[in-house]
Amino acid sequence: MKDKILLLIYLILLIFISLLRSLDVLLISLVVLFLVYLILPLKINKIKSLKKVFFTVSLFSGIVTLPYFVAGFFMGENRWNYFFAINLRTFELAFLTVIFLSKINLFKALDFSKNLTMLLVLVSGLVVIYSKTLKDFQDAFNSRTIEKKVQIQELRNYIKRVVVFFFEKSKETSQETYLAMKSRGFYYDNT
Amino acid sequence: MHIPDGFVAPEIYIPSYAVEVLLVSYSFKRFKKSLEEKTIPYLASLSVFSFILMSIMIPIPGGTSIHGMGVASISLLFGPWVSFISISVVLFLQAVLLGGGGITTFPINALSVGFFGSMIAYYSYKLFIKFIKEKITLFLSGFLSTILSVLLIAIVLGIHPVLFIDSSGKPLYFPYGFSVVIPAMIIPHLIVGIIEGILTNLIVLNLKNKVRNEG
Amino acid sequence: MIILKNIYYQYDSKVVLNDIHLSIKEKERIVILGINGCGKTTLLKILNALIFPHKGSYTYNDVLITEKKIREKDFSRRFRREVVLLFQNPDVMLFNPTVYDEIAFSLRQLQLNENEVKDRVLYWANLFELTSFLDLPPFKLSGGQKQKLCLACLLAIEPKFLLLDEPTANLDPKTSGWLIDLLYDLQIATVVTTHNISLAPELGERLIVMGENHRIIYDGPTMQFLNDKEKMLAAGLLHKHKHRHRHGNVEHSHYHFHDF
Repeated sequence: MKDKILLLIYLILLIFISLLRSLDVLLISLVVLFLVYLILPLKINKIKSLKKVFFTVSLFSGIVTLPYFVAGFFMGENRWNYFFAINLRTFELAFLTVIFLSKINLFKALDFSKNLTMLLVLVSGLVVIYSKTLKDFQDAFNSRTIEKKVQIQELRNYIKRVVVFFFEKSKETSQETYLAMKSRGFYYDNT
Repeated sequence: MHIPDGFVAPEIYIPSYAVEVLLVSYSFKRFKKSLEEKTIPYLASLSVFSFILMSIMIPIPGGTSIHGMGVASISLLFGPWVSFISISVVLFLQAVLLGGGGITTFPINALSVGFFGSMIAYYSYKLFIKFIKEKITLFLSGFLSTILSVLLIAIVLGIHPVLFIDSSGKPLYFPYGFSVVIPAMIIPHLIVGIIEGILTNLIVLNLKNKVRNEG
Repeated sequence: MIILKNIYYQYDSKVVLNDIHLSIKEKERIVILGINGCGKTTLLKILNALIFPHKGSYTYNDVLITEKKIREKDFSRRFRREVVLLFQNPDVMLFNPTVYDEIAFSLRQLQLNENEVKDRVLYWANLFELTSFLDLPPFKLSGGQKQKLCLACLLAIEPKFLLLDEPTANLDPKTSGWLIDLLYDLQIATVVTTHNISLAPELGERLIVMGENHRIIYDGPTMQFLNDKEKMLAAGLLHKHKHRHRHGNVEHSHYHFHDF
């Protein structure tokens, strides 16, 4: 129940912040949010998360808003209001998301649909395992490649093998999961 | 396409969420009829497989690598509706688990890449196979699904400075109109489209014998 | 000559390797023992320049190994030929259409002509009893055969340092025995990780034990450590287990080795 409420609060705040336009309000709310981020106990590496947020947002935002801002000067417009508003808002939304997502157990929050939750749980679990295996494939390929320049045919063979491997693995996992669920007495009612 | 939150208006993303949820529910119900108990495990595995396809890094001339999307391959091998669900699941998890944000842009990505992309891939294949060789059709299918998905995203972004401006005419969200954003997004994605076309060819030809199309 | 100094590596805010010092000379046979999660695989990947330490240095023949250095074509060519890694899961190493092509893959990169390649492939396939499988795709082989194939691929290019990540973990006793004999006869440096205590003495004269604290807690002659029960207990490799026997009315307990 707690997670559903948190999710609802998050969504409301998300929409509310998306609609903000006044620079003053945006600045104050960003500072407040940032303080909350610093003070609140969160189960994540705050500094690493901060860097990540800064990086991802700045990259896209920089490419989009900076040229627009600069172009304004050539057109005789002072677009600083837009530039600050959009960047403040973008950072604020990113912080909001980091704070809330680290506090919400999504699987519990979304459990109004049993199917959805199960699907998400299964996929999240498998993704971690498969990603590690994919990384191993990539590492092994790098390890065995003596010439930096890879031949096209060799690359094709490699990609082909990786795709077929994961396809078969996914199929096996699908069958095993089905049997495991059945063996644990899981039945579908028609939801 | 990683667009951070803040560039898309709630007037766009809220209805998009509604459409996304409705379409996914519809697709799920439609799919469950044929698979029943096996639906969830099947969808889970397909989603993970999609995730893997989206994670494979392909080195391109110039020294960097990019990753493909795999949407066309999944759609052609398993059917567009199922592909749509899988891609939606993957995009959703990427938005919430990877900590980069993108909650508001998720439905737009899911609808453009997942729904529109899957449909384009599937139906363009069906159309072209009638008069073009399979190898080329597969390439076209992958290429078109990529480019047209990106086009749709560009249109959604480009509409913002038209619809969402303040009283003095300044943009509130994404600032560029169609004439800027469409070429700015399509041109770099031409290479992605080509790689995707090649990948689709490679993947589908190698896997199609192993798959039974579930719809 | 490999020298690791002050190596520190972390993943997801967790320490994986802490203050690792290690030097490996040519033709040395080293076995690394440690429980799961102590960092053995990470150490091997660092040695194979697949990942790079967050602190500390790795020098190979006086060359400092960095991400930038390994990107240099000439250096990379030499390094990847001299230092090779057998991954724990052989599946991730095999991706060529046939067993022949798999062994030929690395050989072809050495700019040998096709006849020379063929000679070497046939030699190694014969040595590893894989000749009858040359036309098959690698994934059709059994686990043990895949392992042999991976080794054939690695040894065919005549490396100087062979790194093996838990090579016996998925092998049956017979194939494990075959592997041990093979490694014994090789004239190159080998670094083998394992959590199998009974095999450790056969895999290297020099033993490195990694502790639960992600540091090296022993580096010396293998048998000296394995005969010391106190050291083994401290390393978490020996488990004192109250195993009750009844001899009449007398109950006693004793130590067990748990090979896990």
